[in-house]
Amino acid sequence: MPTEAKLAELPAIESDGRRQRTERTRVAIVEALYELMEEGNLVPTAQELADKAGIGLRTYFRRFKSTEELFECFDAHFRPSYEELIWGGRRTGDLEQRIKNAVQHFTDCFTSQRNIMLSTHTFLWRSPVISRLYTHTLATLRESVEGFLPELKELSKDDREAAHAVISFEMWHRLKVHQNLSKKKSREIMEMVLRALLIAT
Amino acid sequence: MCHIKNNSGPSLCSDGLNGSTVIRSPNFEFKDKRRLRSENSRRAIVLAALELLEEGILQPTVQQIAERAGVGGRTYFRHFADMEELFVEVHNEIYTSSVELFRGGDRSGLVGERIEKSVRHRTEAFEQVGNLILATQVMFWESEALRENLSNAQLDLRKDLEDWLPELKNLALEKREAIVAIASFDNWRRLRERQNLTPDQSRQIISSLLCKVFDC
Repeated sequence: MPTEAKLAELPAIESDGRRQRTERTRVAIVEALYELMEEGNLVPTAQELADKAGIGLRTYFRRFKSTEELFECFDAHFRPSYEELIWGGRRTGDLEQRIKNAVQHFTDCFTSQRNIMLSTHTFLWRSPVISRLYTHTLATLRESVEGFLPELKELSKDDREAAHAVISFEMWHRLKVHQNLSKKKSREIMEMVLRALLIAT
Repeated sequence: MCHIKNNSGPSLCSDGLNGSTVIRSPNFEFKDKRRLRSENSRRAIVLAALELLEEGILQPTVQQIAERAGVGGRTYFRHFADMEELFVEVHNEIYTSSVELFRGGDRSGLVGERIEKSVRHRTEAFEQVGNLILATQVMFWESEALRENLSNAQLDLRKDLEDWLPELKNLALEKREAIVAIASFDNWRRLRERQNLTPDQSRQIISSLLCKVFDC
């Protein structure tokens, strides 16, 4: 490890170290945001974020000039992990089986990402960045759903859109929270509607 | 109108009580005017908040509301201790007229026709009160009172749907719940905003999916 004095002689390395430190602080802040959301604090304040990250409020504002910048950094840091999540699941079997697999897989995603999704919905109306990032996530979800159920591409546009609306976080949240249904019942309902769309009787 | 705790400031809830003591007071006229002015500013605040919500500012700040109402911050806080209290009053202000929007419509005909007519009727109302529903949802996790209001509204909407489609009551639970969800504001919003579909496309999709689940 170079000493302080040696560092001073090597400005290039020092500025590199500073950049790393800056980056570490930014990561600590977005991880603090993640933790706070997991704890149910969907709209944390800058002070709460700074406290959780173990830094001062001034450092916080030096690292993030705006909430939009914070969201941008949060997304860059966590997107790889939630994209991996979205692309998981078993995509084999007959149509009936794949409908079951898809509903199980995506509702598991929605459950594990619940608070982030809810926080996203709280910010959607006022944050152009969140709006853009959510659109991106929805496109990924859509592609992954059609990976499970390529048959969707053969449907009429209306039925295809209907299916995507059914296997959505919005529908899951609706059934669970506003209609007070169990996870099992909510899944059965989603499967039933998808079968009505995909399996002609 | 007494839903929530009163703060010490003047409020509609305490009128009756104050009224009887004020009448015998020598400066009755002065007090009455002051009360009237106070009621006016309270009302101006409620209407200003309502206006902002309708314009799509789902979480207006105190400053935005006070400015729109033409009152100062101190007056605002004299009337409303917190945002929740104001929201509940805004909700009461518009609930009756919102319910009216859903009433009516020609509810006769075969199931297929009634599905189509109910979807049109309800989604037209959704378009009108959409921002107010969204505002309530944004505050959903922060306010017990609003959660209760929203669940009452859900119940009213479900009853309204059952009135359009009495057949619902005879269906198995899964089908019934599926239909309620498909006909919901959340599904409408999803199709319109997240899937970028036009009102007509969204209506078409909802009607056709309802028919499929109904088996008609």
